[in-house]
Amino acid sequence: MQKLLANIGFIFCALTLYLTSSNAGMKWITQDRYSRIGALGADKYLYGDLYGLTYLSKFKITKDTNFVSIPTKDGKVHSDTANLFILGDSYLYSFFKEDPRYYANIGQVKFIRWDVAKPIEIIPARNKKNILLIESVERNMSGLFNLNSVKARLDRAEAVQSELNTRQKIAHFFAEIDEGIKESLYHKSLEANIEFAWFNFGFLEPLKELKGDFNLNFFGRVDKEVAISKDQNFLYLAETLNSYNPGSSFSDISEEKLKAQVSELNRIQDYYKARGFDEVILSIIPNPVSVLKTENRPDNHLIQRIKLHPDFKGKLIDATEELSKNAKSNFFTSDSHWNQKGAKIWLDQLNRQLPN
Amino acid sequence: MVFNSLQFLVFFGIVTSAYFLFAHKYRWALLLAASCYFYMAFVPIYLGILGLTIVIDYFTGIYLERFQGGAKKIFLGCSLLANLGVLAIFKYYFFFTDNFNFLASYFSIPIHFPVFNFLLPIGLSFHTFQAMSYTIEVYRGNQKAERNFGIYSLYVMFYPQLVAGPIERPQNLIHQFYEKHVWDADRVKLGLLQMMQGFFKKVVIADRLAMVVDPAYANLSNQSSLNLIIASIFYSFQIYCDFSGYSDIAIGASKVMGFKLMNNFNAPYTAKSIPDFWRRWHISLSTWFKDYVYFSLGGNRVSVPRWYINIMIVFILSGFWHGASWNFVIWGALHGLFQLIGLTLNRIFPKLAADEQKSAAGAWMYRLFTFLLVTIAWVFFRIPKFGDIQIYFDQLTHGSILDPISLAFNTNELLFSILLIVGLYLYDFKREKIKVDSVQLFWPIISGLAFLIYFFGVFNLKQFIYFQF
Repeated sequence: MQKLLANIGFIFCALTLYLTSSNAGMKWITQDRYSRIGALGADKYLYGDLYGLTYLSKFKITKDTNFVSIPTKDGKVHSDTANLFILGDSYLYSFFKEDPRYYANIGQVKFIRWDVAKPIEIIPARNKKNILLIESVERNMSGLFNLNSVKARLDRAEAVQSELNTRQKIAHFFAEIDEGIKESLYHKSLEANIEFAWFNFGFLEPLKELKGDFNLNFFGRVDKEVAISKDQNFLYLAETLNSYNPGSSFSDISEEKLKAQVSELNRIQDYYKARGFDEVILSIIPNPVSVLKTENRPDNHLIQRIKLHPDFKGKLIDATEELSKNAKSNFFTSDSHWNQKGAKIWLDQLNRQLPN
Repeated sequence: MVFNSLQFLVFFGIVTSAYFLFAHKYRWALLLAASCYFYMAFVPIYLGILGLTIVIDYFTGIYLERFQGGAKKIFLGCSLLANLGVLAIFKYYFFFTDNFNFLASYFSIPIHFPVFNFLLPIGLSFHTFQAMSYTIEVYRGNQKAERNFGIYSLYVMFYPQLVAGPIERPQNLIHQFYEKHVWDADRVKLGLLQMMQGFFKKVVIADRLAMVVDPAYANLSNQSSLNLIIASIFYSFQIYCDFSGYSDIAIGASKVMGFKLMNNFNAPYTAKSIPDFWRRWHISLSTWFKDYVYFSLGGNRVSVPRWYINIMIVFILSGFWHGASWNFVIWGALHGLFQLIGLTLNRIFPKLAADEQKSAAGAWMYRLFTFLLVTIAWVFFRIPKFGDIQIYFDQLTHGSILDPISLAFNTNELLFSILLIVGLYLYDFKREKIKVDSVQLFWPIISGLAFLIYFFGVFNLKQFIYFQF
């Protein structure tokens, strides 16, 4: 009995650790789970990432997951046209991936995510036009949209490190050893992966919804990362509403701060133009609450203020105005992202800016 | 790796099942490897620091047995110096240099020490004290020096109690690594139940109360006096559930494998006096200070003034053990002061306390008063800055209107939290009289607890408060 129980326990836990510690293992679990519908299928993200955090039954609205249904610009890829390098987030990669057919006059697309583990050096091709698009959602821009942060993703590690002083270099050296050991022993998303593997089943959804609804109706609260809009129709990331958070649509942005931000954006453009890019295009995706205007309080109009700032030079894709027309149809109600329609509006705007 | 994480459950499952699958002679190696893995989840390179002190103390133990007289004292001194040196560098260096530089600047002395603020190795004070306990016990002849380096390393690093105790004595733990523990279903069930009890205390009570306590203490100047009173009472229970929850998980996890760790809590808020409280709170630390510091200073077998000084020294050191900050020193000093006042009153009115505690009402009055004193002291423990302590007491004298917005709870959750506290208190109070065969009722109890933990738990992976020490 002892041996049997110990064997079962060991195999179950060791298998869990093995699968959830490897990207291949998680890919297998995820694909398997999403290929099933019902009790043994996964429910997380199926109804929106914010629903997956709150499990509020009211917001369980089936999301059209057919992201690639956004019509491409044309069916052909013109291999002799420009290369597009994108540093961006889930607002783009969930919808467009690296398919050049979405973009006007683009032969090749290279997509680098902000959360890339190690920098991926991008080298502009000599015989083609090279365009660099740097995109971030409004809530993350204060932390990401600065030259060091961009270089940390797009330049060789040594290039970034050369700017550190000796003490910082020593600290960096030990931190790298530490990170190396940690990475080899513990997958950085291990906790979330185990949670997915053990608890992400359709048959557990009623229990999760019971807890989510109970917490809202009895205790008056939802997951701390999520907030419900004033009109009760949308879920938002709480940080976008909290005016103390620099990424909030309601945080106070002084003229001084704005000027510093504009100066950083200019530095980024100057630096990468000097590195051989023909064009550097920036894009800030508005927080959903900045567009949906459900909160009845004035927001900081950050993107618009940057665009109109006298010191700002270069190109900035701002789809706020277009998205605001019939705004509710451009966003999911239980997801932190726009929907396909919203994404298409932004894409059209980008394509108008891409060179012929 | 925090106990209240799924990673820990997987880790615990693998280590425990492998423990019973491994042949007895390899089990210590398995536990040592598992403990290293557990520790490295925090800051991997700090394993090197831990390793260094383990090597020093291991050889010190052996040499302590070989030598007598002055040489023996020198070896003990070196070992204590190495352990306290690591503590001094990583935990107290910033405190001392910062305070020294402040004084030097105040008195215009042209000396300035460079200030470094090292990241504190997790649980440093716990495993350092456990290691010191080993060399002291070998020095005193109460424990034989451990020859197996792996077993000694495991004594310092045994994962359930590595980062937040209980601080074990070598006499209690080392021999257990040599014992062959067989699978005992009843013992395993009791261990698992104790772990579940710990999880319940942590994620259902402590982390829920933290939702009131943390915002209130983070924004003291916006709190009404009633808010602060609620937050302070909640903090008393938060820290109790947080720390005793950790101890329950540590003791339960060890029990599943057949190890018996010392009890760290015994219903502390049912104490009728401050000395009684310290017999029930963080028992492994208070007995450590009693055995190695208080008795070494002469305990109570000295003149009354000297006895009082001994008490103050022990409590101030105990406060300082918690953190390199003046608020911890004040917290310890307050507890020392409470003891001295109690002792003095007992000397003046020797029969008063004993008589009053005989009646139920009198006993409750003493319990309430003790809780009040402990809660006041926790305020100093919780607030690191003097300025904020002043704001706290200023706000305490303002109005008394409950402000639900700044309290971050609605009435239902407030009442629910109070219900949890009352339930916990009654459980603590009547625990020894509750006769439930938890082995027979294992499945209903554990599944009930699992449901309650899931349904009412606050899952934010909040670290245990005592990890920082």
